[in-house]
Amino acid sequence: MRAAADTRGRTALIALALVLAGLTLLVPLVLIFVSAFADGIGAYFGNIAAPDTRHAIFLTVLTAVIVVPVNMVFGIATAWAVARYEFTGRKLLISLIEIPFSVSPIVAGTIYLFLYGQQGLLGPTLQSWGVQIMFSVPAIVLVSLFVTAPFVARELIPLMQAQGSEDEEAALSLGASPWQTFRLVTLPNIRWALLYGALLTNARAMGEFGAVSVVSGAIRGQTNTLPLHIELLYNDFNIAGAFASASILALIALATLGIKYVMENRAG
Amino acid sequence: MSLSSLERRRRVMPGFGLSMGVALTYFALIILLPLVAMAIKTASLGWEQYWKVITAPRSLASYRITVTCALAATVLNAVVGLLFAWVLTRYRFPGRRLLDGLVDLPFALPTAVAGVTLVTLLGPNGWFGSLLEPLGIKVAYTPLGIMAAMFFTSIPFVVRTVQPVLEDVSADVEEAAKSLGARPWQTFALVIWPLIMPAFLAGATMSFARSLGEFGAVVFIAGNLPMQTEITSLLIFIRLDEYSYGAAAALASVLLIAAFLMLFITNSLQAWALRYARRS
Amino acid sequence: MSIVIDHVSRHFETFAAVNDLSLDIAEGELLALLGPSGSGKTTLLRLIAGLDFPDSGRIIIDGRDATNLPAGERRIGFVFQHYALFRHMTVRENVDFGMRVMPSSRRPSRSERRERVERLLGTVQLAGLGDRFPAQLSGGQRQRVALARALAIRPSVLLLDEPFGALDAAVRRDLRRWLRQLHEELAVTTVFVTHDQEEALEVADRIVVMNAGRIEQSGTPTEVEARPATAFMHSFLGGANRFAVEVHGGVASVAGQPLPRDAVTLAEGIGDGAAQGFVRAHDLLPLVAGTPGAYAVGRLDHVVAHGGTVRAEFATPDGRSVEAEIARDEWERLALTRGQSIGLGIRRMAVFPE
Repeated sequence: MRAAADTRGRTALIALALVLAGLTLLVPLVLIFVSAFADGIGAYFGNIAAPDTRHAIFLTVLTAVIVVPVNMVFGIATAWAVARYEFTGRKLLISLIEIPFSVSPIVAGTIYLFLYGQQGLLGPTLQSWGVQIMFSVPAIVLVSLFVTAPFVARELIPLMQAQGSEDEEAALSLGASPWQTFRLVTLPNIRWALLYGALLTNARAMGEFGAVSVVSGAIRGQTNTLPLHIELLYNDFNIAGAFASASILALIALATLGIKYVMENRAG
Repeated sequence: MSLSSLERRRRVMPGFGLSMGVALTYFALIILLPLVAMAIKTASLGWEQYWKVITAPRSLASYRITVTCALAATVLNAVVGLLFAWVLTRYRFPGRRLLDGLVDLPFALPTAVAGVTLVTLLGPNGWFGSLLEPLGIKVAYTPLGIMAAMFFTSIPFVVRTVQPVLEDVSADVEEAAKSLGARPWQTFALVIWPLIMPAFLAGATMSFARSLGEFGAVVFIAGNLPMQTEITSLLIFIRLDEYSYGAAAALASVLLIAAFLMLFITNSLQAWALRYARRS
Repeated sequence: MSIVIDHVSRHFETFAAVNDLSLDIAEGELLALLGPSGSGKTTLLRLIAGLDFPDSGRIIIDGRDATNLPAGERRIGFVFQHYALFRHMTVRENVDFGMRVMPSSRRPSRSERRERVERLLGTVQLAGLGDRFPAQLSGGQRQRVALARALAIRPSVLLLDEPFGALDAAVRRDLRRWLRQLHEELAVTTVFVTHDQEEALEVADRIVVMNAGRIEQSGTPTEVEARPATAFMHSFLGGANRFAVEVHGGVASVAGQPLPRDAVTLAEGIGDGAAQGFVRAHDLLPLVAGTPGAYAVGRLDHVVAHGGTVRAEFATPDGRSVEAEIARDEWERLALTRGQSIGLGIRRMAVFPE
């Protein structure tokens, strides 16, 4: 009796989970591609090939190409400092690094505006030197650096703490230089977590909307990234165009999930 | 004296200066400096003006809408997240891996994409909206829509915090409970729940924090009517658009303080969640 | 090569892991650092290796002050407790690592490196496994890869941290014997850390027993085993019965009965008053009824036969349990059964202050 009830409860829970996941996750995903191709394949590629869209793609990729390596370096340095040494303020540093994750993207954009904007802390000085950061590409890059700063470090810190420093000690005792130790021992040990952190950084850098919309000025064909471009097209009632752009970002999201899945199976 | 000598003692691992230098410089320039700039801006308002801005009726309404919708989304997420985590760790069934992968979609999908998708789906002519409209349920451009967007963007939090803990609750603990005569619900309530509760609360807190700050997914579907469907993030954006930077700074400081508070609560909960793990 | 440890201390916050310790290690010696966990033996080993630095004191390796030398410049082979093999490298690449990272002026040629790796793999009995990854090896094999890797840089000193700690009993026994042989072949100064006295007694030329960051006793295995020098040594080596003793005018009494002077070794400078006496199991004699010299009465509780000897546990009237070890044929002559009481005599006792 109880076994039969167990099985029934089990089946009901699985069915409920699958239906909910279908409605809340799968249907939205399908909708993106259905809407993107609503006017046919020709129209889809026409939308993507439009000059403004092409420029938005270019700017999005450019941002990611700058942001990902910079934050990888920051992430490795931070994780190394935090996981390999004991120092005063270590725990504080670990939690402060998480700040960009906890603040609203709008706040992220706003604080940069108050730093580099016309009424900001450094804006007027920079302006007098002829340097314009706000409402231009550097601002987009800077806020993207901010919102994605913690990704690599938070993947590496727990891993490097769990691995301990025995491998590095072994290399050093065998006569390896610090750089050799890092390149030949540390880097191979953390490569998958590093790659995963980079992947998440990339996904977020390409997809950031709120922070970028505050600082970009959204000048069409100049400071429009893909997410901003989607909003622009949507507000112009160009729904198929908006979804064509959205489909590119959705594909990148799916690729991110796919690579994550492969890497997790590899690690396990 | 003893502390400074401790810090100056020789370190075996090379690279302390380099890694600390890079980490702190970057942290100071990219994270700290803008925060300081904003603090200065906010302080320049003066206390009276600051108080006036953050307690203006429109501001108060935006907090109310943001917090209410975020709470509702979090409750929903807590239930759904627990269900997903349970099903994923306890059962093997066709589609399990797909479900496991799909759970992360809201993290990977840019919020703007989520926004246009949800408004299209739930709008009056959308796949879901057209079914709900005859029932008298309007989602898009109402608080319900805000809640839906917040719900979608924070689906993974509870699942991903509870899942590893649930996986760690080994089968023999459950079998031990069963062998001692516990019924399934007793096993869950007395053995499993106490173990996963801290992680569950941490996940729910993260989900709530994310919902408080969510912008991209919400603006598309919210309707953005002052006093009715305007969230605090959007109000900041509008103030910036109007060049009332002081007001924007004041409102942003409210969100920032809320974020720090949530960060503190999450960290405390996570430390609490680990207390069993550390003991064994 | 010789190692001189000269008044070395290493504190962790307020805890003294190594406390003003001095020790000379002769060239070619095979030395065991033995002690309970937390006694500072691993810290001392890491100080010698340069994986940690002392707060005070000097470490001299082969006549050269190495106190401030980084690990890589000490020509020391270190075998880690959990091996610390590089998991992304094959066995061959692991062994080759130390030569690969040498500055090109000192680095042996490619063919010489290959040859040395193969020879070492032969020495540690892993020939043919060079292409495997560490994850594909058993615990004992990993241990030997770690050893080969440490030996590849031709170290002047070999240091091993709990070398057999993570292995099961049978493999451990084989490896012990093998390590002895290897040391005889290579004659390289070797120091290993262990908490297992049997291991130290079996493998080492000399044993240094550590306790609370200091040296408790140092000597050959026979010396240490035969003449534990301190109260700590008696309890650490185990198998000793502890008695409450009263000392008066150079005579020790147990339960009010004085013991013959020649049966008692009094610690130097011990005064009158309460003291503690240690009687090792083979120095506690169950006495046939009627023989004089019984200092306690014991009721037989439990008997274990082991080879030619028997270990018998007796319960004494004050509720304690004592252990005696005697030859099997003697035991059979006593013909004791469980629950029976018998007098217990003391052949030799070491007395220390409380």
